[in-house]
Amino acid sequence: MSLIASVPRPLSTRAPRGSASIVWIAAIVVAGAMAVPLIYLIVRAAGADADAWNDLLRDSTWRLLRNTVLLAVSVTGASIAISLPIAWLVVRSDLPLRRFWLVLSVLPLVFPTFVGALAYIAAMGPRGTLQGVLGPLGVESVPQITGFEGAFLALTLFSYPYLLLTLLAGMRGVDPSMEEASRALGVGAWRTFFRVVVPQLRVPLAAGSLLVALYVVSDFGAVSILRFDTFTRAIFVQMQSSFDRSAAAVLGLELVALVGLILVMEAVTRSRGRYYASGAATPRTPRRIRLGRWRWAAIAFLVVLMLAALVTPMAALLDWLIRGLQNDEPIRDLWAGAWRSLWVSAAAAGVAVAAALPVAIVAVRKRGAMAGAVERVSYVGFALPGIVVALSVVFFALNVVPGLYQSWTLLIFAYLVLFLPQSIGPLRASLVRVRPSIEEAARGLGRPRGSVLTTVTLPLIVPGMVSGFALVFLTTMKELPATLLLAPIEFETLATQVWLQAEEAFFARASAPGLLLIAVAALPMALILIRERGLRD
Amino acid sequence: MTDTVATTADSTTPALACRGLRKSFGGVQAVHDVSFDVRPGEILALLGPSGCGKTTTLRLIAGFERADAGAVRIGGHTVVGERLSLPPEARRVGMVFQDYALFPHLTVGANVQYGLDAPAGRAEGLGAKLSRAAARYVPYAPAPADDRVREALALVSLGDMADRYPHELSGGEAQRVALARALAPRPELILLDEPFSNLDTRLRASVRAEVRAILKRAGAAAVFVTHDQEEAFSLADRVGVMWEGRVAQLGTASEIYRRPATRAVAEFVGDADFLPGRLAGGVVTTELGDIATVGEIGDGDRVEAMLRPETVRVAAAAASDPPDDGGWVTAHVIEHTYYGHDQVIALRLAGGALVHARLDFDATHAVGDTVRLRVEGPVVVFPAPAPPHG
Repeated sequence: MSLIASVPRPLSTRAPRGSASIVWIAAIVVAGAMAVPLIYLIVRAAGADADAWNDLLRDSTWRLLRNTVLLAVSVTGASIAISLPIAWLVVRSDLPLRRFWLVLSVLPLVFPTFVGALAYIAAMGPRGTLQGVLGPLGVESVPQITGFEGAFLALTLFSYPYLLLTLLAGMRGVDPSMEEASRALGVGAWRTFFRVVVPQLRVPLAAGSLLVALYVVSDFGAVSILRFDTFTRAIFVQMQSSFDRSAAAVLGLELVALVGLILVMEAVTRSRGRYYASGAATPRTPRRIRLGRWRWAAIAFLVVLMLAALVTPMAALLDWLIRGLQNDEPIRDLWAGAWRSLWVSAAAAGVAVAAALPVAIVAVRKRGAMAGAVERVSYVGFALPGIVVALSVVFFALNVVPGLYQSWTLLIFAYLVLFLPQSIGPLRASLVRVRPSIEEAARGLGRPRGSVLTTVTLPLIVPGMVSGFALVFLTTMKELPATLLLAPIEFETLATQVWLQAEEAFFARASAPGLLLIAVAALPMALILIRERGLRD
Repeated sequence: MTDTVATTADSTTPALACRGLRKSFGGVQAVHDVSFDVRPGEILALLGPSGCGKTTTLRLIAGFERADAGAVRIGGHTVVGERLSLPPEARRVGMVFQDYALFPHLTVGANVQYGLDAPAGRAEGLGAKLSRAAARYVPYAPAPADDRVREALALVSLGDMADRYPHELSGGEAQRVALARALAPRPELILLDEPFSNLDTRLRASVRAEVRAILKRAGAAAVFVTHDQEEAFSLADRVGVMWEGRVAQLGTASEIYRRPATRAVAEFVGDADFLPGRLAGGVVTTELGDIATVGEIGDGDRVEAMLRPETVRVAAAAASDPPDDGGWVTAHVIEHTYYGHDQVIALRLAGGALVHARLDFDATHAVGDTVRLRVEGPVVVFPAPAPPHG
C-alpha cells in the first residue's frame, strides 16, 4: 500500500498572508487606547491656568497630601502587624484549627471597602447596631467613627487580606532546608525564624504592602462615606461642584505622581538582593513551632480580629436590613440595580477578554521592544486609581467625542482601561502553556493562521478566558468612582445605590444592595478556597 | 543561482531539493549554503552537534523560518525561490515534532483527521464550498468517518486507539500518532525533528526500527534531524553530516564512517586518533610505518592519518601468533575500558603518540602490558592543522 499519492494535491500558491500583523495591529490599538485617557489628563492639566497650579501650593493641597500619605502609611503598617502573625500562625505554628482560621482571616476580602465603611457607620451611629447591643449593658453612647479613625479602621480591616495572601505564599516558599541548616549550626527555633525566615519574606512583604498602599490611595468609596479628605474624595467633589475641571485634573495628576512614587519604592526594595529557593529535590513541610500556652493569646487575637472584620459589619448590615423590612422601607430599585450591575459587568468582562487576547498573544509569542511596550502600556490601569481613569475618560470624551459622554460605551471603555490587566493575566498564563510546536504542527497540516487560532489556540486557552472574564465581571460589579462619574443619568447599579443611600444616611436602604455585593464577591472567594492549593493546609 | 531541478513530477524528480539555502539570526550565520536532494522514498538523516544548523534547515524546508536566500523544491514544486516563500500550510510536508505536538483537546482520531480536508461533494455549489471553508475555523468540527484516518492509524498499528486522548498515550504511542497524523494527508515529504530524544533509552532502538518500517511501508521520503550518530546510521538510507551551518558530507553511513570528508566529520562520527606523517605516492609514512591511503589529497610533508580503533590490530609482544611478518610496532597499554560487548585500550607508542584500539570482549591485555600493534589500511589522510601562530 502506498500512502504517498501519485497525483499531487493541487498546490496553493498563496503568499504568506498578514494575519499575524492583524494580531499586531489589534494589540497596538488596544495598548494605544489604554494610554489615551492618561495622555488627555496630562494635556488637560498642562493647559490649566495659573490659578489651578497655584492651588498646588495652597494649604488645602498639602492637607490632602498629608491625609492620603498618613492613611496609606498607617493602613499598610497595621496590615503588616495583622498579617505577619496570622501568616506565621497558620503556616508555621501548631495552632489548632489552622485551616479554619486561615479561611476566616482571608474572608474580609468579600467586603468592598465602601460596603465595609457603610456597615461601620451603621453599627456605630447613635441609633446604630452596637448601641442597640451595648445599651442594655449600661453603655451610654458609642463613639462616632468618621474621619481618619473611621477610614483607617475600615481600610485596614477590609484590605489587610491582600497582604496576608502574598505573605502566605511567601512563607510557604521559604526552603525548609535553610532553617534546618540554621538549626544544625546551633541556633534555636525562635532565633532561626527571625534571622532566617523573616528576611526572606522581604519581597512578598514589599509586594503585599504595595498592593495595600495602592489600594488605600486609590480608594474612593470608604473615604467618601466616612468623610475623610484624601485626593480621591477631593477630586470627586471638584468634579461635581465646579465648572472648572482644571483643578480636578491637577489633583488627579498629583495622585498619579503619588502612585508612581509607591511603585518606585516597591521596585527599589525588590531589586536589592535576590532570594532563591534552592530547589530541593523533595520539598518538605517545615517542622511546626509549638505554641504552648501562647495558643490562647493567639486565639484571642484571631477572635477579636474576626469580631471586628466579619461579625460586626455583617451583623450591622443584617440588622439594618431587618429594620428596613420591618418599617416597610422600600428596597428601592434593588432588582433593577442588580440587573443593571449584572449586564454592564458582563459586557465589560466580554470586551476586556476580547481586547486582552491580541495583547496576550503579542506578549507571549512575539519578541522585541514593541511587544514589551504593548504589554506594559496595557497594564496602566493596574496602577491608576479608578477616579483618575474616570476623570481622564471624561476629559477625553468632552474633547474628542462629546456625543459619548455619559453613555454605555464610555462607561465600558473606562472599565476596560481599569480592568484589562486582570483579563490579560490569566490569558497570558494559559497561552504560555500552549507550546508553539502545537501551532506549528497545525500549520504544517495545511491550516492557515486564522484556522490555527480558532481550532487549536483558542480551545486550549478557554480556561484562561473564563477566569479572565470572571475576574473582570466581579471587579466591575464592585466598581464605584468610574460608575458614579460616567454612568448615564439615573443609572444606578448596586454599587452606586450603596453609596448614594449611605451618603444620605439611609442605612436601611443601603444594606440590601451592600449584602448583594458581598454575596457576589463571596463567589470567587469560594472558588479560590476550593481550587487554590495555596490555601490548603 | 542555477536551478537544475526538473520541473515535471516523475520518478526521477527528487522528493526534496534544497539549493543554496542560507539563514542568519541577528548576524550569526545558522545555515550557510546548504544544498542536497532526497530521492523519492529515501530516508535522509541530518546529523550534527547542537547549533550546527540542522534544525534550522528542517524549519526552512517546513516553512517555519524564512530563508534569506536559496531555493527549495518539494516534489518538483518550488516552495522557496526568488521572491517566493509559501506558508507552511501550502507546502505539502508532514512534520513530526520533538515533543510530538499532539493537540491535547482532540482525540487521536481527530488529531489524525485535522490535516485532511473534508471530502468535496460531486457537484459542489457555492454554499457547500463556503460551509467547507467555514468548517476549517470550527474548533470541534464533527469529524466525518474517514477511511484515511483508519488507514493511517492502522499503518502505525494503533487502529484501536482513535478515541483516546493524547494524555492517555505512552511516549511511543504518542510518537506513532504524530507520525500517522503527518502521513495522513499524503505529503510529498515527512520531516522529523529529533524524533527519539523524548523516549526512554531502552525504548529507542525498537521505536527506531518501527518508525523506519512505517516510513518504508508508506513509501514516504523523509528527512530527520538528530545529534545521535547511532540513530542516524541505523535509521537513514543516507546521512548528511552538518558542521557550522554547512553540509560537510553526504553519503551512506559506511562511507561517512570509513571515509570522512573532513577532520571535523571524522571526529564527530565515531572515535578516531590522528597520527602525523608524510604523504608520498598514496602511501603515508607514520610512526606505525608505511600505510596505504585512500582519497584524493596531494602529496605533502605535513599530513595526519586517521585511525579508527577498529582498524588497529593488537597482539601480545612475545606471542608468535600472528607471526611478526613486518609492520608491527610495540607499545604500552596505559588505559583499559571494558564495555561488555567489546573493550578499548589506549596505547602509548615509543615516539609518544597515543592510539586507541577496540578489542573483542575476551581479549586480555591489561594496563602496563607491552603489546605489538599494526594498522589495517588503507587509511584516510587529512592535511595537518596549521600550527598556532605566535
